[in-house]
Amino acid sequence: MSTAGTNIFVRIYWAATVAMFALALAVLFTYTPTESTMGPIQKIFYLHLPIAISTFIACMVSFIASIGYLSTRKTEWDELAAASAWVAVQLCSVVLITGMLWARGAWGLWWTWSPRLTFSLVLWLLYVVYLMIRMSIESTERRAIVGAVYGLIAFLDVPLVYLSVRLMPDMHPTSVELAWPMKLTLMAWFVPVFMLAGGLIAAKTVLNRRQGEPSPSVAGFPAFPARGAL
Amino acid sequence: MTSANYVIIAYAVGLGLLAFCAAKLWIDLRAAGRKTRGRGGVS
Repeated sequence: MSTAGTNIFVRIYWAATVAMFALALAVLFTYTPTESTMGPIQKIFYLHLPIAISTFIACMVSFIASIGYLSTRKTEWDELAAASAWVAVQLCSVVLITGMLWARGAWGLWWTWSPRLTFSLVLWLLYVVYLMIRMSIESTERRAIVGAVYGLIAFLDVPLVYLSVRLMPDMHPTSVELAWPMKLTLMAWFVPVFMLAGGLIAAKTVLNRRQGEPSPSVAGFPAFPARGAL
Repeated sequence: MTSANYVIIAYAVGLGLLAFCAAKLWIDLRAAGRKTRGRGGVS
């Protein structure tokens, strides 16, 4: 596809993502019924769950790309792994923030060291450290190898986050029975969140490729002295 | 603070943070694109 064609596709993609978010918000505030047990606070669920699932997917993409790099040594895999890890950090931050607000409204506390919450915080920390390790290594090849090996290890926390609530006693809800309008709302939120996550991974991968070195900053924060690892 | 307020804050902060990330990425991509063109690379 030509550059102009690509630009048009990208613009349409992001316009559609914004439109889907607007639609999802409209559905949430005009159509979705209030849950009988928890009340209005349950509405955080429609943002919290799709972003949590997107975090897992971003981590999995990073994991697969790390395997791809270690088996082929092609830089494209490394760029994808780094981009996915960066997106996973952003998404996981939102999961933690929305989860804390939900916990405050539903349980009356901001945080509790329950298994799922703890493993989720550990997941966020693991991928923040992944980004920091990459920024601290100057050599491109060495950074890619260390990043790929670390990416494989960091991913091991994802199944722990998923299974913790099923295998250990936890305050966090496991599965919730939803009425049909609630399921529809959840689907309306999954679409734009997946589109956003996919778009961010693709854009960040392109940015890594264009720069030929790590991104100068992480989500707007100043770069470390050793630039270039994302 | 009421439950509805927590919901509004959660959506405002969550979507705001993601929008900020997307905007930052877009700005970085444009800057990287200009640099590439400046070097006589991809147009």
